[in-house]
Amino acid sequence: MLRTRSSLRLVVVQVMVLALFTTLFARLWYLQVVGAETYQAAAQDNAVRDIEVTAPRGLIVDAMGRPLVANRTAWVVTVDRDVLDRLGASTRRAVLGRLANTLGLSREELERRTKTCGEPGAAEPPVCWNGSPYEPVPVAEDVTQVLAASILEQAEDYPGVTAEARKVRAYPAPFGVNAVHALGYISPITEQELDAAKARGDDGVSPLSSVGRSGLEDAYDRYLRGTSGVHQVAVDSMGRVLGDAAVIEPKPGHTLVTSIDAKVQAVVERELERSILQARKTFDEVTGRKYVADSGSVVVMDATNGRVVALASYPTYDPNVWVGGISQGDLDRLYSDQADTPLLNRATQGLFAPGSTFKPVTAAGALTSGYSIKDKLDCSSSYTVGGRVFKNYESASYGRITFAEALQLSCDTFFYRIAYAKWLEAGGDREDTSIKDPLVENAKAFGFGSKTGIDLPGEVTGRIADRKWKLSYWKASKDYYCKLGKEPGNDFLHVFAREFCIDGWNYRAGDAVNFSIGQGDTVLTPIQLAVAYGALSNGGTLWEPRVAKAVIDADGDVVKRIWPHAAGRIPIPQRIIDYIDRALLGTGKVGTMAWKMGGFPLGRVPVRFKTGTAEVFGKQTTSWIASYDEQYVVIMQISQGGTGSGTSGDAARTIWETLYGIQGSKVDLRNAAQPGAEPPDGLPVFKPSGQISPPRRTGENPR
Amino acid sequence: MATATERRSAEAAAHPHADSFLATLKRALDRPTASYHLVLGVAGLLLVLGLLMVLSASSVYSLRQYDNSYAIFTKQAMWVAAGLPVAWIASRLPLRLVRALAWPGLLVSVVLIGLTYVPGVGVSINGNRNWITFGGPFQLQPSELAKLALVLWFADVYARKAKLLHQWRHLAVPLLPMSLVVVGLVVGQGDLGTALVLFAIVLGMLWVVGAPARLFAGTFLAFCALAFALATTERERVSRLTSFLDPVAEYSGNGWQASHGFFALATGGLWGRGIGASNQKWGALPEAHTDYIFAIIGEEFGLFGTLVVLGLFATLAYAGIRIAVRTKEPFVRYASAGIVVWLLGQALINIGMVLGLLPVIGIPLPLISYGGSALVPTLVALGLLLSFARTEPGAAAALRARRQRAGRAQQTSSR
Repeated sequence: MLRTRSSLRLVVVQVMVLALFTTLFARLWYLQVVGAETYQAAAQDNAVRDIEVTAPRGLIVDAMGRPLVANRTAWVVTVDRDVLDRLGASTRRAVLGRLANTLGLSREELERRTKTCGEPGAAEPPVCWNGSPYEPVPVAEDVTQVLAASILEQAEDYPGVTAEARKVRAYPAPFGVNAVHALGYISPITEQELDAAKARGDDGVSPLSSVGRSGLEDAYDRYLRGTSGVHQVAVDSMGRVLGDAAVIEPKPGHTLVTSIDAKVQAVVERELERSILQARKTFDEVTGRKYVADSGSVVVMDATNGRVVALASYPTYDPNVWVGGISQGDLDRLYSDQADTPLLNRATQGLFAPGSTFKPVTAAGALTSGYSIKDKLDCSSSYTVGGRVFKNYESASYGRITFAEALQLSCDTFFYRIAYAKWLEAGGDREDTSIKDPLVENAKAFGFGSKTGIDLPGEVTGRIADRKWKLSYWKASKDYYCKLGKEPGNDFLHVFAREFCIDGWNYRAGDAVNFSIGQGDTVLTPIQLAVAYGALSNGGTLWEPRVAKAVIDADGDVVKRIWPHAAGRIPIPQRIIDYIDRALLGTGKVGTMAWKMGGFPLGRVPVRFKTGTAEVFGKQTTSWIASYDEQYVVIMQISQGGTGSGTSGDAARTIWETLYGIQGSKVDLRNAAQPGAEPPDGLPVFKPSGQISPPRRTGENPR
Repeated sequence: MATATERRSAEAAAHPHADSFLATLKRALDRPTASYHLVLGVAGLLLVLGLLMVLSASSVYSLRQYDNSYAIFTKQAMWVAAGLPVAWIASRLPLRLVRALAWPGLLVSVVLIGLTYVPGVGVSINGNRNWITFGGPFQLQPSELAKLALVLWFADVYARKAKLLHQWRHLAVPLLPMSLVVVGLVVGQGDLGTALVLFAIVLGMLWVVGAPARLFAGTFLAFCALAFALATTERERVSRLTSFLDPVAEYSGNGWQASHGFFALATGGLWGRGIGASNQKWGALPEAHTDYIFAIIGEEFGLFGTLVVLGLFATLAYAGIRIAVRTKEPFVRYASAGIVVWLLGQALINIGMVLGLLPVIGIPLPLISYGGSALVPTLVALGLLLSFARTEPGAAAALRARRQRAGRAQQTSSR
């Protein structure tokens, strides 16, 4: 019985096998005959791959058309992980080993570089690949052409590896300019940024894009980056290119014309560095050691429209460190406090107490809130307010003097008196943050405490230490100080902590007095000061500073003019502006700057000066020089650098001499850095050949 | 009805040989030696086709990997050269000896599989720790040996218990526990494909020995539940198992291999691109010379080639089952049925996978795919099948007579 059952079941097996074979036959028939075309088409599609051709980024040129940022060709070796992963472990190892050997890296290092950031075994950003995991990963940038050629010629030995010519940033540095803080830098787009761009419908970026990270490269990224092209190529399964299918040429980025003048910029940078190095050799009698002079900045601006002619920040760095991927060491240095954070643009991102350069602002405020230009006040050697003695830091006692003299001699006690009187008038230390202190309101009207609107990203607002700020600061930090105050100790810090804990919110007479001479908690950026002094020069207009002038396309046509924009006017009558202007004219002749200006033709080039030596708690003084004439504003600042005229005076003079072509006491406008000592109105001329010539001048306008 | 008869006679008139061909075929199949010659012929053809396709499919890979287009082919040829004498010996062994080897064979297999868990001896390839090495280039996949051992052991035990098989207990013990041990060890290695073939062998044997439907169904359901549990425990596995439905949709992910398998088959069309002319073997299709060799056959020989392979396996199944049906020896019946279930099951799973009817499971196509560990036990199994074929009534005598005739003819001709 079992046997027959077994045999029966064997027949069932036979039938099942037959049924299964019929199924397979049917499927084979479908795959190989009926549906074959679909899959053949898919196989064909697969053989064409779109290769993105990145557009060369636009140039950045100075006002005369000199390229500040250009492009050059660099050979980049990339690894396609998609292909590599399909090779099988041993082949992959062999290929990577061979490549590492060629590139002079260890295989481990090479493998680390092919990993996406965050993946196990990846290098730290930005050395690791931060782009799309589906894009070929650049593992060596800026390799020699010989090396690139050897990889391309032995494609069989390097499946998934290719070498391609890419455009990278080059810095021609006319006259040796650096200008990196204004120009900025670029680096490859991150995956998150790419996703964000896609989400907001911006299809101008791709996984291969590099985007601006700071300065003009960032601010005008969408003009500079251009549009990628597509290169369709037939490829085999290993990604090896078999031939071209179609090409859509990339559209190169637009050229950005700036108002920077390379000649002025070069002198400014050189003078800033020289002054800082000089300060570091100079002995500071107050602190008993040499000046630290950790950083500094200079802004040269066209006073008539806010265009930036030069902008320098120290310490600086070589923008080439970003080209071809930055190394971890370089990156650490850029961010390190020890190297004084070279990435920071002091001119727009550095916050400093303005010191005496603030006095013209206070003077304007006083003269529009009750004081008259005829008024004379006592310039005593000290002034006592609320039981505290405030000394006359910068000047000696001169008896009763005018506003003009007070500005020229930079008398502190003169302004203390005004500030105290105005503080009392406004309500003293009443517990009311809605009180409007006229001097504070005046400073706000000059643009302090808000951004100037310069076309460089990352600008900071600065701060006016008014009643509101004091209250919010007290709320934020009273816990810390109250705790500190409970500790024993009678040094300055502990005494201060106890007082602060009780009524630190209070806008006291001392605060008002300090504010009047640009001390205390009020801080501003050099660019804010430039805008404010520009208003004194041009009759009261606060211009939004502009570095860029125009966007030019590849054919040399203007895509967009970037016009100056007036942000507002200072509420000071012309009469008072003229009075302050005349007073500051005296600073170079008889005031605090006179000792540095011997022989300077102030008659032909009437530069107004205000020097400043700002006290900083726990640090050495900040050296300031604010100066202007009808055309330019020059602001110079050196942190922990010493006195205004002492440390920065020579440099400021040299900058003015450069602007006007002054040699000794002779003015020769033919030698002026900008033709006619005037920033050009027009734009450089871009010929289709790629040649750039300086702007045509509408008419000689010697002064 | 009349017209049909007319037409048939007309056809017969047009093709005078058609009728005689069928008659000849029937006569040939009626001979007692038919099974023997079918197994011999099919095995030989599959083996030759296999060698040819291994050479074609592996040449590019070999060149890249070993700088020698023949590297993998040479290894496979060496395995064939080593396997054929073993198979011949197997075909000559007395049944008693074969049965005596069943128990030791299974124990050796289990021990060898156990060795893959020993660090230093067990080697992991493509994520499955199912290889053992003895140092040097020689590596062995013991689970391949286990398939043969399991079949022989099942057949031996069931043959001994032939009279007790109406009892559940004797059907289930010790066979089910033992198979659970073997399958468990293989699953532990991560080799789900081999485990699947072992399932098939166990189920096939239970079916053939005539286990009651309830036991069969119960075992079947238990295995299905286990397979489902294993398949869904790992996310990677789940996505691999589900991507087979539309591999082109997941082209750059899990569907890559299956997609390129389709491309290969589709490019082959009816008649193929010609021998050696496969595109996909140039690196696009992973495992072109092992698990996906059927796709390369389809690309180079077209539907014609794939149907020939299907036909050869179908013939093998026919011959194997014929042996099982005709024999009087229970051991032979169970063993040949087991061998058929094993080889055909494996072939169907492999081809089903290439055709996108099953998920991508890494098991080779018997006799054709590259790999010595799988080839040698297969050859031995076919040797045994030949030996079984000779147990058919009258077959041994016929073969002897034929040999004698051949011997005499040779003597005459040499004289």
